Amino acid sequence: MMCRGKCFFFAGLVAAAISGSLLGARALRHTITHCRNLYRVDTVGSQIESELEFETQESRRAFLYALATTDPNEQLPCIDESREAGLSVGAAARRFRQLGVPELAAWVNEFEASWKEYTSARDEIIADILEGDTKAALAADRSAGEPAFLKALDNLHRLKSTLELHASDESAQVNRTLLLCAGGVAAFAISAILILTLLVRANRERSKALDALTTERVMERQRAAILEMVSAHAPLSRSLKTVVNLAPMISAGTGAAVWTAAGDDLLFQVAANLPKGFSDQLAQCALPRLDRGSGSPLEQGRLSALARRLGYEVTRSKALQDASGSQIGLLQVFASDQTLAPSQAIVDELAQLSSVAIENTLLYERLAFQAQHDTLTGLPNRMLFQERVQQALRLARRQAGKTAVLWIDLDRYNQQINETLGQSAGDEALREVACRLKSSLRESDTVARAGGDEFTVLVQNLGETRDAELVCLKILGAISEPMNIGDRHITMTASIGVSLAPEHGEDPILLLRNAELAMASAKRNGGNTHRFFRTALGATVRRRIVVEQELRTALERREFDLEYQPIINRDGRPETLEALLRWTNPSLGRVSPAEFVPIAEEMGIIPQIGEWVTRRACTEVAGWIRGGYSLDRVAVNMSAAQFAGEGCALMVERALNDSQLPPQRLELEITETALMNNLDLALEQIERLRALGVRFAIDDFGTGYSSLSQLRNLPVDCVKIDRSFVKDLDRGGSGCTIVRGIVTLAHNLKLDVVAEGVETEEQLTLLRALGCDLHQGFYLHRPMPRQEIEKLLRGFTRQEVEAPNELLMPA
Amino acid sequence: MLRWMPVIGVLISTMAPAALNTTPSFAVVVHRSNPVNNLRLADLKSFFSGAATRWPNGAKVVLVERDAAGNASRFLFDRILNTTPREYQRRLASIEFKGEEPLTLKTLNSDAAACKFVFNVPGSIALIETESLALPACEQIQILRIEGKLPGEEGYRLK
Repeated sequence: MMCRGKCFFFAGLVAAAISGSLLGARALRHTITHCRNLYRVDTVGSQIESELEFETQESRRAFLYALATTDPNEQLPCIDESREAGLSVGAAARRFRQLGVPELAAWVNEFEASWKEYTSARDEIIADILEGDTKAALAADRSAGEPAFLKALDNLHRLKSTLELHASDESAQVNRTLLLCAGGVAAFAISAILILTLLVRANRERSKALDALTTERVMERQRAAILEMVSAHAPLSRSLKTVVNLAPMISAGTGAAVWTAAGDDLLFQVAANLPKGFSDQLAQCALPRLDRGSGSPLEQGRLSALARRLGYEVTRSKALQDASGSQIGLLQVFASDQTLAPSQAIVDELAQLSSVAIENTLLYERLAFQAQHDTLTGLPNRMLFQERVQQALRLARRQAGKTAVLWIDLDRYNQQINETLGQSAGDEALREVACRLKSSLRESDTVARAGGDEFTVLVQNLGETRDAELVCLKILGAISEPMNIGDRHITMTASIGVSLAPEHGEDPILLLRNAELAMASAKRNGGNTHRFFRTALGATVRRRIVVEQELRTALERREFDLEYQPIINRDGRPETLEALLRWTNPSLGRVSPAEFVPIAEEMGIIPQIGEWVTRRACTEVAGWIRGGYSLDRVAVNMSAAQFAGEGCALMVERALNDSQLPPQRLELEITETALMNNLDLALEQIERLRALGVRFAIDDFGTGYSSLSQLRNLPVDCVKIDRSFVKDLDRGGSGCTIVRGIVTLAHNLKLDVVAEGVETEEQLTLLRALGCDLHQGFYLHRPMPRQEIEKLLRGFTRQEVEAPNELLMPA
Repeated sequence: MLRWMPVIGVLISTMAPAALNTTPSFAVVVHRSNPVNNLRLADLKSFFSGAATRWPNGAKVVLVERDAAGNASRFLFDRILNTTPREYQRRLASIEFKGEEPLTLKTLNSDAAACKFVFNVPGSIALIETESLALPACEQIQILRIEGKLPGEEGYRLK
C-alpha cells in the first residue's frame, strides 16, 4: 500500500515535471519569439529609426546648405550628400519593412510616401538652386519642400511611437512569457527536485540494501571459510581469529575479542583490530562465566574501564552458547565510538560462528578422545594402547630397558556378574576394576580396556622379570578386594597373562597376543593367577582360539548333531534316551563336548545351542514315539546359563508345542551348580515346566554343592549319581556308601535314581543291589546316532506290542 | 544596354585615337529630359554666345562652363565662339546691361561637377572633354549629336 502510494506520488511528480517542462518550453519558445521581436523592434527598429531620422535630417540639412550657398561647386556636393542621405532614408525604410512588424508597415508606407513627396519637391528645387534662383528655390521649398519634409518627419515620429509601443508590447509579452517560463521551470524544478530527492532516497535505500547485501555476502563467504576451517579441524584460535576479523571488515573502526569457557572462568582466546597493549591486557583478563553468576558486573566494569582508558567502548557483548544453552564463551565488540557499533544481528552472527567454532572444536576433541578411549571406563582403547606399546618399545630399545604387556581377563565375569546381576551392574564392575587397575600402577604405566571384561596394561622401564610379577600380584590383590555393586557385595578375580619385550616379541600385536595366550593359560589353571608367556603355551591356546572362531558359526553351518545314550531300567529296557550334543567341524573334525562346551559357555552362546538341542531332541523323540517305539522320555541337559535367563521355560514350552512331544516325555537335566547360582529364578522356571508335566533330574549329583538339605526342597523327579562315585564302586572305596546314601535319600524323597558311568558288569550288579532304578553307561549302551537308536528301539518295541501309544490317542 | 551603345561607340572612337593622338575631343551634354538630341555647331554657338536663351521647348538654357584654364573653355572660346574669355565676359555683361534676358552661366571646376550640374538642372548644357564621359557623374546625362555626329564618329566636329 505504501509502495503504491509512493508510486502514485512519483507518477504525479513526473507528470508535474513533464507538464512544467512543456509549459516552460512553450513559454520559453514564446519568450524567445517575443525577445526576438523585441530585439527587432526595440534594438534593430530603434537603430533603423535613429538612422532614418539621422539620414532624413542629414538630407534636409545638406539640401538647406545647398540652398544657402550660391556657388554650384559647393552646392553640388551638398546636393549629392542630400541625395545620398535620401537614398539611406529609403534603404532604412525598406529595412523597417523587412522587420516584419505589420503594425509598422503602414507607418513605413506613410513615411515613404511623404519622403518621396519631399524628395520630388527637393529635386525640383535643386534645379532652381543650381540655376541660382534662390528666391524661387526658397519659395518652392516653403511651399512644397518643407511641408513634405515635415510631413515625413511627422510620419517618422509616428513610426517611432508605434515602434516604441510595439516594443513595449513585446516587452510585456516577454515579461509575461518569461513569467510563464519561470512558472514552468519552477514546476519542473520543484518536481525534478522532489523526483531527485525520491530517487536519491531510493538510491540511498538501495545502497543500504546493497551494503546489507554486501555485508551478507561477506558474512556468507566468511561463514563458509570458517565452517570449512572448523570441518578441517583447524586450530580454534585460527577459526576464532577469522571470526573476530569480520567485525572490522563489516563495521570499520571496530574490534572484537573472544573468550572461551574453562570451568567457571572465561579465558581470553583472540582479539582483532585492537591495539596490542589492549589485547595483552585482555589476555590477562579472566572473566567469570555469565551463567555462573557472581562477580560479573565487577569484571565487566573493569573491562569497560580498561577499554575506555584506551579510547574504546564495549559496544556489544554476547554470551556464546552451545546447543544445550550452556555458556561456552563470550564475544565482546569494541569501538572507538558507539555509533560505529555493528548491528545486533551482525554480533549475533559473529557469536553464532564463534559458538560453532568452539563447539565443534570441543566436539572434535571429545571425538578424538573417544576414538582412542573406551567410553565406559575412560581408559585408552586397544588402538591407543598399541601406539603406547609401540612408543614404549622404541624407548626401551634406546634405553635397553624391559617392557611388560599384561592381558587381564576377569574370571567368570559373564556368569557371575553380567548374566546374573545384569549388564548395568557389569558395567559398574568394569568401571570399578578400571579404577583399581589405575590406582595399582604408576603414572607412567598404561591401562587400557581391550574389550568385554579384558584389560591390558603396559608397564615400562622394568628392572627385571620379577618386577612384572610384583605388578601382577598387586593387580590381582586389588581386583580381588570385595566390591559393592549396587546393593551387593561381590568378589572378583582375574587371570593375567604377561609377555615381556624384547624376550617375547618386539611387536605390539605379537606381545599382546602372547600375553593373551598366557592369560588363557592362567585361566585354565583356575584363574586368579598370572602366567608368563612360554613358547609351549602357543599350541594349546591357538587351538582354543580356532575352536572359538569355528564355534561362532557352527550352528549356522549345521555342524551340530545329536547322539542318544539309552538309560535302561531294571528290566534292561531303554526307558529314557539322554540327548548328547556332537560337533563335527570340517577343519577340526569331531570336537569333544568336554572341549567345546566350556568354551561355548565362556563365549555366552550356550543358550542358543541349548535351544537347538532341546528342539531337535523333542522333534526326533516325538517322531519315534509317534512311530510306536517303546520309549518313555528323552533327557536333555540344561546349562546354568540357560536357566539364568528368564526365557528358558518359554523356550521349552515352544519346543514341546512345535514338536508335539507330550511334556511328561521330556526330562531336563540340570546340575546342582546351575540350580544354586540363581535358585529363585531356577525354581520359578522349574515349577512352571513341572506344572506342564516336564520332569527334572539333577545331573552329576554329589559333585557340586551337594546340599542334601536342599534336595528335599528341590522340585525334581530324579537324581543322577555322578560317574565318579560309580567308578569307585568296584575299587572298594567310599563310593558304595555314598551311592547307598544317595539312593536311600532319593527314594525317601520319592525320587528316581540314575547311576551314570556304568562301565562294568560289577558296577551294574552293585548298583542294582544298592537300589538304583536306572542305569546308564558304556557297559550298557554307548551314545548312538539316530539310525542305531532307532534300530535299538525297534528291537524293544517288538517285545512290547501291547504298549500304549499316547501320541496316537485322541486328545 | 542599347541606350549605352552610342556612349560606348563614342568612347571607343575617341579613346582609341586619343591613345595615339593627344588631340582632345569634346562632347556636349544636356539633361536627360531635354528633347533636343542633335545640335548644329551654329546652335551650339548660339547657346553659348547668349544668342539663344531658350530651348525649343521653351525651357531656359543654363550654360555650364569649365574654368577658363581648362581645355573645354579654351576649345569653346577658340573653336566655337572665336573669342577670348575677356571678350566673352564683356559680351555677357553687355547683354545684362541691355536688359535682355540674362544668361545663366555656371562655371564649374571639373567635368564631373559639370555633369552633375547638368544632371540636376533640366535646361543646362555643358561642354566637357569626351574622356570625362566615362565618369560616373556623367552616366545619367544626355550626349548630344553635333551635326548629326556623336563624339568619336567620323566627321565629328568638336575636336
